Amino acid sequence: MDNRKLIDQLSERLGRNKTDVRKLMDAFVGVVSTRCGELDTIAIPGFGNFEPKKRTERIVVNPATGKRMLVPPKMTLGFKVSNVLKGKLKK
Amino acid sequence: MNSKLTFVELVDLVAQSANTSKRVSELFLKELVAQVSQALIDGEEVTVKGLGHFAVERRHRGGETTPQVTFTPDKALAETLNQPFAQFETITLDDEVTDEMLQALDDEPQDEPTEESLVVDEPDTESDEPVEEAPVEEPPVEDAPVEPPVMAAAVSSPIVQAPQEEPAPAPSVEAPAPVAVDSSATRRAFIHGAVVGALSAFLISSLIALGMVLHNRPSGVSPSETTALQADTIAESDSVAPAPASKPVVVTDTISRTMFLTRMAAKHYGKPDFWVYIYEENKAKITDPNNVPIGTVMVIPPASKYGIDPSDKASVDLARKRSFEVLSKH
Repeated sequence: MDNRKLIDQLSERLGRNKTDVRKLMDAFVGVVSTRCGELDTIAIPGFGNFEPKKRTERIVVNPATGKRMLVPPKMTLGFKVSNVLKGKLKK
Repeated sequence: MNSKLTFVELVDLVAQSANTSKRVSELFLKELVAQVSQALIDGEEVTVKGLGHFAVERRHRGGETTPQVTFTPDKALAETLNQPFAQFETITLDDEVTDEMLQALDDEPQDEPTEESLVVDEPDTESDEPVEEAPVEEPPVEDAPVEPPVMAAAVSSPIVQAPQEEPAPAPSVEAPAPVAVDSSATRRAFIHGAVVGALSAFLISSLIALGMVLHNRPSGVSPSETTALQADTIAESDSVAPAPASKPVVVTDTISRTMFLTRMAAKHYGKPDFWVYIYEENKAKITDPNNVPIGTVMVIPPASKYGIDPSDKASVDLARKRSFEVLSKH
């Protein structure tokens, strides 16, 4: 399901036009991006948690050349699925 | 910082940001989650623009498959998150650099922490920072001196904000509360217990009464009465059946944007609590009662089949109990 279809379905279910739904979606994405930037976890019951993670820097070896490389630290956004949804997926 | 944002707070923030009411934002978020979950359950992949891509990967291990949800953040979102570390790049180390040299670099900041003292203000969040900075400062690449100040700026800015936000409101609010609560708490607990006791007593007695009514029905209630009951519900439903009620007529209704299970129950039975019986009747078509697809045609069972009576409190309570059981399964 791509973004357009998702917006279509949401606007149909909510009875609002697509501009409204897009506005809400942008607001949601904005909140996730600012709060996760502050290292806050966002919990959505029945769905899962958005957890920002910090990966420390590490040294990797390029197997082809044998050169070692220093990979810098990085912030990533992880998603941990809730047990409720996991249970539903199992069925 | 490092706190968990609950759903209620998220609803608030989204409502503020989109300039709408909390109700709208809550409905939107619930619907969004329901749609994405449903698509994942159906085995689809979902891309939410600006957020990322959700997919389900089924792993086989020891004869059983465990579903695993993989989430790839949107490129723009990933870049925004990685802002503090954006200026670093992967560096190829020269052959001369040995493990011992790197080890020595790792150890260094612990010997001279005074330089970092401005960072150490809040040790719990940033304590691992010096260790990370160190190797980048000194590796054999020339541009090293440029980076530490930038890094320090990026790191120190959130720290400066943090202490200002937190300390003020907490102590003054906390102090008076426990004293006031203490005296009233015991009394409240007593009243609470009494109310719960009375309620459970009433529930038990009403259940017994209902059992007796159901038991007596076959002999006591004449067939003409049941058909009259049926006629009542059909007259109320106003959808399909102007036909005479002598034969059992199948009443149906269609789920739409404004017509959910609960509203259907309110329309046909007089109380929304009876939705659970419509669900029971149409179990085969409904996977999740919280999210029934629009356009699904529901068969509305006659009120007599499940002993539905909106004026009888026992019947309503029973319906509530069953709907609770159904919802706890989903």
